[in-house]
Amino acid sequence: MASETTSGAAPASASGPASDPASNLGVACSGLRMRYGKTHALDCLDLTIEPGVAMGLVGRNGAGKSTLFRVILGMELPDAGSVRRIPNQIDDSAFLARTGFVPDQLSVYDWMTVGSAIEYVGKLQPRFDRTWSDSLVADLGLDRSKKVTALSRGMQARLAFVLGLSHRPELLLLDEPLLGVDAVSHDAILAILARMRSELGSAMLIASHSLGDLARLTDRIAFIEGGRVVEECATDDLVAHTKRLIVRPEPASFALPPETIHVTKGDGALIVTVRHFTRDLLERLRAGVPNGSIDVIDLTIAEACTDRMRAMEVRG
Amino acid sequence: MTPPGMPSGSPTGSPLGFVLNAESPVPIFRQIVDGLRASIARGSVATGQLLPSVRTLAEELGVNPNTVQKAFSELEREGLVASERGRGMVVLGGMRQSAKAAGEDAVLNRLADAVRHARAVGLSDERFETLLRKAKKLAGDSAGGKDARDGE
Repeated sequence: MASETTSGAAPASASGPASDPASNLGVACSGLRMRYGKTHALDCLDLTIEPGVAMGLVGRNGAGKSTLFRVILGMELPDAGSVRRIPNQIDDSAFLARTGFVPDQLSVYDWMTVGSAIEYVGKLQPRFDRTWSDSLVADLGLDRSKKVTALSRGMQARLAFVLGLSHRPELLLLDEPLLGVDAVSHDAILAILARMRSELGSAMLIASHSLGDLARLTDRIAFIEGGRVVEECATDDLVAHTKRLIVRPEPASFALPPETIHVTKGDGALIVTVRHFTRDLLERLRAGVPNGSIDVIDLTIAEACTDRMRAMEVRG
Repeated sequence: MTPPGMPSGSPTGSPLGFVLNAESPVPIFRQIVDGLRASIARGSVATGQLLPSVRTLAEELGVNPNTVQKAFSELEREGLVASERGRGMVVLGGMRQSAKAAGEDAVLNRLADAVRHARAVGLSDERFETLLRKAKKLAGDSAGGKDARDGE
């Protein structure tokens, strides 16, 4: 542990961290419940972020995402359930010192400059790594002398990333970090996150409505609704195995398979979105409509997610 | 610099001259395989040369390094590249032709998808041809089409 502490003196990472051991920090939430008045913000939520895994978190506003972040960060205690740190023996302060949080809004004092905001966080953060921090500032093209109030939204987001990542965190919690960010800042930040993964092997939990970003960055995606995780799957499978089936002409009766996520009718056809699509499933469904046709349409990640969220809305 | 008319922040350039589109139905892993294969077919990465490292490509493209690694493994499985200890992924000799053939297959598959999609939304063959011409024009207008003829 001592060799990893880098406050003050020049850190050991100056020669490049290529030989870093893989990070081993993760978190397992089980049975989390949290009530505000009559609202169940978390309702028996189970979610595990294994070390080194990037998990996307998708859900409508108010589904419980931000509450989950606050509970993992120890800012709020859940009414029931547990947050187990991985590895088991790590204590709260060590866990938090190795965790990075990037909120959707930069929160620093108005009088600060980019440079003084970084110094301020550096004093609070025991594992602050100056060399690493400097490289983030350079990669993201930030000007230390600028006042934070004079920064564009994109530059504020870049600064929020520097502040959240300067201690080389092994677990990153990102709450809508790219909301309203311009295209150039967006690409710069994606590159930094890719660097966090390849150089540090950091695990991530990213809540975002920007599904294309989740397709780029994550290994897995969890869908959250009504304070619980209703589905979790590999990101690649989500795109590759969610399909829309167009059944034409619209059949009088059609046995929906258990893989069904969402159903609509339109233009003389029945339109069924399914997960876990296979050729076998298609053959079985085709046998059910001998006088009709079933066409298969590939979906983008946005479509695959939106159809799930529409179905959740109906179930409400 | 994002050229005007591009959706903000989605396509990202890479040193090998292909763009990723996270809003496409083609999975990102597949787009990277196709892009690298096209670079080999064009000769942008010649026999004996190295592909960029996983880390470099992941940062350039702004994607999950695991996805890049998975794409490399796929190219290795196809026999286009081999991993050389301590150096990286080396393009194997005589693979330009098979990269071309595999690239053609990939294009064929995507066209077949497009045809199925067209049928599903009830387009006539004639209308499809019109859209195909439009698509070519659309592709020609953006940066992606420019360097497609390197080395020919």
